[in-house]
Parts: sequence; C-alpha cells; structure tokens
Amino acid sequence: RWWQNRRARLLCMLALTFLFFVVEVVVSRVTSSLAMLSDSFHMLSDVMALVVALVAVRFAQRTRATKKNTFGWVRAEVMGALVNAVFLTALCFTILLEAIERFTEPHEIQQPLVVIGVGVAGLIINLLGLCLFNHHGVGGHGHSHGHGHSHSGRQHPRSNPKPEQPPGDGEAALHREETSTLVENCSSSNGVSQEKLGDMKDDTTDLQVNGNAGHYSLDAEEVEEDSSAQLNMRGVFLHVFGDALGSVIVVVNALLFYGLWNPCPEDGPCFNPCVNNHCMENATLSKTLGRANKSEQESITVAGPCWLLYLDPVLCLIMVCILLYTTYPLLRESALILLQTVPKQIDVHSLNSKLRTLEGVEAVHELHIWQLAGSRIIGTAHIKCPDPSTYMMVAKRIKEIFHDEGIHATTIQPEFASVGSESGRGKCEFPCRTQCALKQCCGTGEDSTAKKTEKSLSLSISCSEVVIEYPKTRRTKSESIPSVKLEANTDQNEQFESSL
Amino acid sequence: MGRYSGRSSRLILMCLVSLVLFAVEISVAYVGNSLSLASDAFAVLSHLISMIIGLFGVRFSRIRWHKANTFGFSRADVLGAFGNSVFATALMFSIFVEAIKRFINPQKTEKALLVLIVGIAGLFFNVFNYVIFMDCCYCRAPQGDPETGDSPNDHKSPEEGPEKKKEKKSEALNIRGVLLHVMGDALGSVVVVVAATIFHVLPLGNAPCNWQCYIDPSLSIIMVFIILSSAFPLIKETSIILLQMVPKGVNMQLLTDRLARVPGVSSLHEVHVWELAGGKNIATLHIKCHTPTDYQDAAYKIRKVFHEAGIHSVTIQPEYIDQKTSQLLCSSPCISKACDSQLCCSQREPSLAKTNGYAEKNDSCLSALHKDSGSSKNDIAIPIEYPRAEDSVKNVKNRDVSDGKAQLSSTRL
Repeated sequence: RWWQNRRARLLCMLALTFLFFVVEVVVSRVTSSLAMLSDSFHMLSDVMALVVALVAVRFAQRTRATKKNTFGWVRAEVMGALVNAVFLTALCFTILLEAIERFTEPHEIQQPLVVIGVGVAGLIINLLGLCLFNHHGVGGHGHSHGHGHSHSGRQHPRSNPKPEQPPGDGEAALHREETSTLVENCSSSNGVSQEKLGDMKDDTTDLQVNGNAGHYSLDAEEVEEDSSAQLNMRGVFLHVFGDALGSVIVVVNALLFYGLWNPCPEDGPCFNPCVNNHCMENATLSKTLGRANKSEQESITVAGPCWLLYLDPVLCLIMVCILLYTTYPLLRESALILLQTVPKQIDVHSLNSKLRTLEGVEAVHELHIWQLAGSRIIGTAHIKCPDPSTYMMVAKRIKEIFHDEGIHATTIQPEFASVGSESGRGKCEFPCRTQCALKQCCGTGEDSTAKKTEKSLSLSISCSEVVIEYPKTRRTKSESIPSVKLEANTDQNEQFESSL
Repeated sequence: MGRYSGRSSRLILMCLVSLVLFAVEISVAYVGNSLSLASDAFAVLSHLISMIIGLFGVRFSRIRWHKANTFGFSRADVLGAFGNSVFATALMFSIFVEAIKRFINPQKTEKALLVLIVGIAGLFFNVFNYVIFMDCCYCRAPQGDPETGDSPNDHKSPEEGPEKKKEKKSEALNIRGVLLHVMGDALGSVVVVVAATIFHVLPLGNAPCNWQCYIDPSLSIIMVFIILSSAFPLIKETSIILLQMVPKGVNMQLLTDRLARVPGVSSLHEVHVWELAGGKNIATLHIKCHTPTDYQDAAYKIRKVFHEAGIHSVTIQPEYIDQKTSQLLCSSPCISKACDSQLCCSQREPSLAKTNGYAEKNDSCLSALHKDSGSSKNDIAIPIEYPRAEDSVKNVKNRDVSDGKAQLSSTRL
C-alpha cells in the first residue's frame, strides 16, 4: 500500500538515485573514467528534480489558509511541475551544445567496457523509476481510485498516526491544540483573542494542524489524484524518462563502439582520418608517404569507421528532440494555470450569457474565472439586481449555474441600482476611488461597453472589459457619462503608458 | 506616442547583438577550452531571454480582457521572469558541475589570445548595454527593468504625498539594485579577461597543468555565485506572486481586525488577498450581515479599509444571518457538500475566520450543534455541524465519515 503514496515513491527514487550517484563518483575516481563522472552528474540533476517535486508535494499538502497565503499552498505542485519542465529544457539545451561541439570535434570513447557497465546500471535504475512513476506519465488515474474508496469507507481514528504523516509525535499535542482553539472559538466573547492565539503560534500551529490537514488531504488525494499532483509527477516522470533515454544512448553507443571500432594501437603508426588534427595529419601523412615509399607491403592501421564517432551526437540530437516534444505540453499546462487563464473546458462567453439571461439579473460585470490548482476553480462576479429580494431569489440559481460549469468556489457581489441614477446598467456600484483606476485588476472601463453590447455580437462585460483596438476605445470613452469621465481619462492614460 | 518611443527598437537591437555575442562566446569557449567564457556566454543568454520576455510582455500587457484570460496577460511578465531565472539557475548548475570536473581533471586554456579578445568584447557589451538602456529604463522608479525581466510596474502612479516618498525610496533602491546587477555582469567579464590574460602571459604550451589550470574553474565558480545572487531574489519575488501569496505590503492580521470592526459586519470569512502582477492587488471576502441595508453601508466602509491597505479590486459577498447558521461558517458555499474537495479551501479546517466582537456567539454555537440531516438543496445555507467542546476530535471524524462531510469551520470561497 505504501507505494501508492506519492511522497513515498519520490523518497524511494531519491534514495536510489542518490546512492547510485555516490557509487558512480567513487568508481569513476577508481577507474579515472571521465564518462562515468559525467553520467554521475546526470544522476545528480535527477536528484535535484526529485527534490523539487518532493518539496512541492510537501508544500501542497497544506491546503489550509495561512497568514502568508490565504489559499493555502495548493499551487506549489504546479510550480514544481513548471520548475522541473524548465530545468529539463535547460538540460536539453546543454546537451544540444555538447552535441554540436562533438560534431565539430569528435572524440572516441575511452574504455568502452566501463561505459557499458555504467550505462546498464543507470538504465536499470531509470527503468525502475519509470515503473514507479508510470501511471502519472501516461496521465491515467491508475489504481488509486479503487484504493481510495476503501480508504474513506473505513473509519480511521485520528489518534493513530500514519507512517507518512510528518509530525507524528505531535499528534496528542495537536488534538489538544485543536480542541482548545475550537473551544476558544465557541465560548470566548471576543473573537479576536482566538486569532491572536493562532497568530502567536503561527508556525507551530500551522505545522501541527497541517499534519492534520495533511491527513485529510491525503485522503482526498488518494481518492482522486488531483490533476495538479499529476502535473508534478509528470515532471518527475519526464526527467527520469530523459535520463533513461540518455542511458540507452550511452549503452548503444558504447556497444557499437566496442564491437565495430578499430582503435589505434599504442605502438606503431596509425592514421586516424576522423580526428581533424592538423599537426597529426602532417606528421602521419609524411610518415605514411615515407613508408609508402619504402615498402608497400606494410599495412597501416587506419582507425575504425568514422561514422561511429558521429553516432553519439546524432543520437543525442534525437534524444533532445524527443525530450522537448514531451516536455512542451507540461510546460504549457503549468504556465497556463499560473497565468490565471480560464480553464479550457469553460467558455466564459456562454457563462456570461447564461448569467445575464437570468430573471432579475440586470448586468454582470467583473466576471473572473481562474484555476487555483487541479480541479479547484474559482470564480468571482458582480451581479446587478434591482433590489435585495430579487437577489435572494436568483442567488441560488447563480450558484447552480457556476456549479454546473465546475466552478465551486465563487464570490458573488450583488449590486443594487441606486435610486435615481441614470447611469445605466453597466456601472459598477462599488468601484474604488477614481485615482485607483490604475491599480485595479482590470480597470474601470465601465459603461463604455454597456452601449456597445447591443451592437456587437461578442459579449462585452462592462466594468472590466476594455477594447483592445485604440480608435474604438477613444470613441467609446467619449460617450461615457460625466460621472465616470474622470476614470475614463485616467484609463486612457493608462492605456498609453502601458505601451511605453 | 508610446509605441514609437524607441524602446522596442532598442530592445530588438540589443537582442540581436546579444544573440551574436552569445554565439561567438560559446564557440570560442569550446575552441579555447575556457570555462569562464562559457559561463559568461550563458549569462549573456539569460539576458537575451529576459529581453525577449520583456518585448513580449510589453505587447501582451496591452490586452486587458481576452476570452482565454479574464485578467489579461499582465502576469506573463512575472511568469517569464520566473522561468528565465530557473533556466539561468539550471545553466549555472551545469557550469558548476563542469568546474568541479575540471578541478578533478584540470585542463588548459588554449588560444588564450582569442579568449582574451572575446572577453574584452563581452565587457564592452555590458557597458554598451547599460548606456543604451540607461535613460529609458534604469532611472525610472516604479517602472521595472524590462531588460532584466523584473516584474515591471508599467504605470506611473500619480499618487498622494506619503506615497511619493515611498516611491523615491523605492526608486533609489531600484537604481541601486540595477547598478549592482550591472556591476555583477561586468565582473563576470572581468573574470574572463583575467583568466585569459594569465594564460596568454604565461603560456603553458605542452607542459602539464600547473596552478594556472585551477584559476579557470575557481573563477567560474565565482561567476556562478554572482549570477545566482541576482537570480534567487527574482525567483523569490516572482514566486510570491505566482503562488497567490499575500502581497508584501499587506498585513492580514491588521486588515481582518479592521474589517471586523466595521459596523454592520457580524463576521467575515473566506478572506483572500493576492496580487495579480505589478502592484495590482485583488481581494474577495464573505461577510455576514443582518439586513441588506447593513450590507450596503458596510460595503462602502469595507472598500475604504481595503483602499487604505492598497487593495483596489474587491468583491464582497454578503450572507445573511439566520438562526441556524453559526457565525463563522459560510452560508453559501457551493450547492452540495460533494463539492468540498473542489473548493479553493476545504471547509473542514479552521482558518482566518473572524467575528465582530459585538456578535453573540453563544446562540450560534449551541444552535449549530443541532444536526440538520440531509442536504438542503432549497436553502442557500447548507446544514453544518459544529463539534462540541467536549467532543474529542476523534468523534468528529467518525461523524464525518458516517455522513459524508462535516464542516468544522468555514474556509470556503
């Protein structure tokens, strides 16, 4: 069972790889083989990737909000995936540079037998790693589903510390801590003191409660492998995959070399046509000429088929292409989440139209949908209604609409049209002060688009949407009513400045 | 006006020059077997990438709303800076590894004269870089440095008095930071020149390696540390934004205190504050009020509190108190309990919920102890369970398992 756990797998692979790294360094010193040393550092980069993933997993289990991060650390895994993907790209880049160098200056492999041995050992370890992280790489759910169901069905008393829980010894203290804070919560007349308590012991409470939280979220995550966790593990999988490819190339190359290469013997004349070395060329040429003059029967050893020397860089290039091709989707996905993009399965326009067509909803603005991590999608919107009672009626429907799209964490701000305002429907009732226009997330380009809505087919969301093209913006801004002209101006300036 | 300031064209020119310089430096590094030149080449490459990111960032930041991204693309800069720093770190790691290999297995620098010439060219390039970008980018305050891919704050803020002083200070800091950065790069080139000079002046020829061969790797390690020292702060800064952390200038404790004291607000929960990019802070929260007029009054005051804290985009969700719900729990999370794992913050863990001191807590606690069975799809409020004080946590967990999900406290958005 323990191998189902992500962290256990990562730790296991980390230990193996680090051990192998140490072994390789030692052996390379003993045999003074440079190839082994290079390969060992390759393993070290693997170790680093695993460490990054491990740190991300550790962080991401703290889903509880803290003083420093109101969302908890769920996003850490997406960041971990991004770091690994970028790291892998950098690695590919250095391999590319080396391959180019080898093209111009090929050199033979020394001690091919040692290299074969090292390569095979590395390959075994990498294949093991691939098996460990396999079902993440494919993107499937694997067996964690079925396992998870049995888990949550069971009643596991919390006093039983699970092996993967870090502060296992703090369990008892944790219970006391939690009950005490709950008690304070309930009975203290001043809610502030509880916060102060939490504040003072911020770190420790965090850590301890996180142990608990980790407990919970472990359940949750064993039930459904969150897609952010999948991203993280995919990053690790790709690293191990790249390493495995590298080992394969090393082994193939060394084998072919061992089999087919005709090395220059230590003694005796040797003509090496592959290595482009001017001095040697002249020397050997003159020697060969001299020899040829003397006796034609003496055969000169010619160093083996030259194409073998170019095999290494070619294989490296192929490997780089494969790696980049498989890393790019991971890079894209994690970057899109971090950029606060709308998740691809949600269509903002249709959502907007659904909301607008509800009875009692006059306008919708500041509609924002973004993905925190995995399946946690967050939405915010300002809904304009004629009066509070209408809002109460529609509030449930609004939440349902969001729920249907898969957005479960929403904050809806109702706005009621102030009596006697001719401002029209689009105006945001609670904007910040006018000089804040530059610092708002989306600018206060209100009202400009309210009138456009009827004309244009595409949906415009007032209060947050500013048209991209310059001339249009200018025109619509001038149409805006006097009360918002000030904001419109600053907005215009803002537009210009942003292009500076 | 803004479009043709020439900054873009300068950026493009520098990009081309950097690209050429990088190609030259890396090839000479391989030919001359000089590691320090290779590390300088990588530094130039990382600058090149940050300039490209800056170029794209300027283009993207004009888009305010897009159907793929409701916030516009202002975060692209931040993400680009982060990616670039990680890339630079990885490259420096490979240089570090190479240097260690050279300590074990020392190698000579050949063609020292060529390396020297290229090193001097790199030094000139750094100075040239500084000169070109000095007037437009290095001496402007909140405007970040696009050349180095710092998260830029594109807007000049016409703010009030005390903020201007803050800006001057940050301007001074910014300039100092930039100067340090430029000096660091120049130092890298100096390192290359020094190493190459030694080999040129005292050529080794065919002799075995002596102390000279150890200069190159040691100087390379120094270069690695120089570059990392400028990459790490950038990584820290950008990851604060990318991880949705509370921005630096905001004190959550103080903020929630002030918010709870606003009259009309009984309690508040699900307070989230984060930074989009470049000083734009966004907040959302849920408040509990008694009546809609309460809410409307409180809303203005709440925004004022946020405004003073520097947060200008706020979304407030009002929830109305009724007898059944506790003060601290969210009355309107998603429509069913099954969504809990997909909420931004699980409802089971207590967090940052605050109540106004005036509210009566006793009623809500006791009444909340009644278990409302069955999920009510008709109300907005979802029945909650509040553990008794004497219940051990174990007990709650049992109950939790037995009826799906019990909520200990509210942290739902």
